[in-house]
Amino acid sequence: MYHIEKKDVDRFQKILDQLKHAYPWDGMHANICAQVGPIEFQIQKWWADRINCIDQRVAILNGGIGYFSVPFAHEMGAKKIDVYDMDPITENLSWYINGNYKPEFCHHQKNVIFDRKEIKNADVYINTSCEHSYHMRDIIPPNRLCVMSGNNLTARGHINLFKNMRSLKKSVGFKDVLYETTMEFTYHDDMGKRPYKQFLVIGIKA
Amino acid sequence: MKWLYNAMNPRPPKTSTSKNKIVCARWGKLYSERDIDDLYEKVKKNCSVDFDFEVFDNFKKYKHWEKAKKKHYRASLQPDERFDAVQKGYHRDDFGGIPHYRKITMFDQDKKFNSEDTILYLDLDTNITGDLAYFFEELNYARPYLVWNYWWDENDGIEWKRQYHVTRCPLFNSSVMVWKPGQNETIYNFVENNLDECFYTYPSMDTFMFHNFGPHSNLERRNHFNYFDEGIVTSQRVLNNNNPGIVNMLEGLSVEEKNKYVSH
Repeated sequence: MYHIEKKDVDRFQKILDQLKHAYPWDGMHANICAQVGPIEFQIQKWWADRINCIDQRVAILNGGIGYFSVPFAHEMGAKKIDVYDMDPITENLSWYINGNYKPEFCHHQKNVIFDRKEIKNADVYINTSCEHSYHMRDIIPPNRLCVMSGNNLTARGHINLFKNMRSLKKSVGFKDVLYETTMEFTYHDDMGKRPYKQFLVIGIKA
Repeated sequence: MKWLYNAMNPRPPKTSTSKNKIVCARWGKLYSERDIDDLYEKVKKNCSVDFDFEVFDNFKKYKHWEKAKKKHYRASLQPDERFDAVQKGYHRDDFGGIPHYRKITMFDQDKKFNSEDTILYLDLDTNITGDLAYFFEELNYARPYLVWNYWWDENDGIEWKRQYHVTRCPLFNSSVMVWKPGQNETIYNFVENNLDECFYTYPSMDTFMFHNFGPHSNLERRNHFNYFDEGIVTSQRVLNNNNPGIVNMLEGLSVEEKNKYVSH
């Protein structure tokens, strides 16, 4: 079995094609690059190396286009992969590049905070963009396996910064922590180049 | 709510005589009673139908909203002035606290009006350049109205889509609104029932309404508003010497710039 299949090449080709024709403005390139880049890959691979999704329903919150999270959940054996993201602009792109993962895959253009009643019941909840939203402790039901990640990076759209691992755990409300780690990355935008810490936790929600 | 009297610029006593209500709101230190008097003078000069002019400036009933604002506002400075800054690690667009939440309380305070009344809300920094009678006679009142920022929606919406990922800039602008009493109660109730989530998430009332009552919102709340036709309400920032319409918004301009455009 090869690690790279034709469908992987097709997905990448689709993104390049869409960036040129459907999203031809400044900023979109950087947005998508971040979602398909090496930092995102490291974050997603960290949980994929540690949890089992066989026959599980996986909810990916604030999931963007799910470039890595969707295929990882698929390869881990998930029977249902629901991606939730409020962005109406990239919804079509998510459907377009993840078509190969239907019928397990479904993209929901939903605000996970204010439309939380419409998040389908799942066995595993993944949110690796906790810095973008209100506390997950009020959103995710109790006793579920959670993969949660957030950072301390000052950047537009980051409304929930985590000073440390403890603040991330408090924001989610775990009763058991199974794995945790801190990664260090560098970010570069119009405010300059700066290092930041990415906190990752896998545990059971209280 | 109270009436403010000014010997140099007297406003009529507080009596309800018209079904046309023109309202504004004032809080904090950014605007003075003089600004209210100025708005009243502009309204009087530019409205060919009878109207009552009312000021919303008593928000004591909403102390719990103020408490939520203070709890979740993440900047170190109070939002009386616009400023471009990062404070406490957060970008200006991410401070939370909905500083203009008092405007949302009008959707509850409108209970004092009669159901057949029509309410026209104007920001204190709006310049009136046409006949306000339009807002009381020419609209379809089945749904409430606010301003659609047409100028960000040109060229297949590339500009608002670009800004959506940068500042979450909405296409909504609440500087001018028209509604019937009770039509926006769902918005007030939504905030009331999600106080922490709303005040934590949003710095801007307009972004809040765009996300939760706009064209991409949950189906139950989607397309809550009608929008004024293009050209009726304009923004001085993007006017480029075109027709200013009936109301010309001066949002985003400095005090000096605003004084330049205000017509007395």
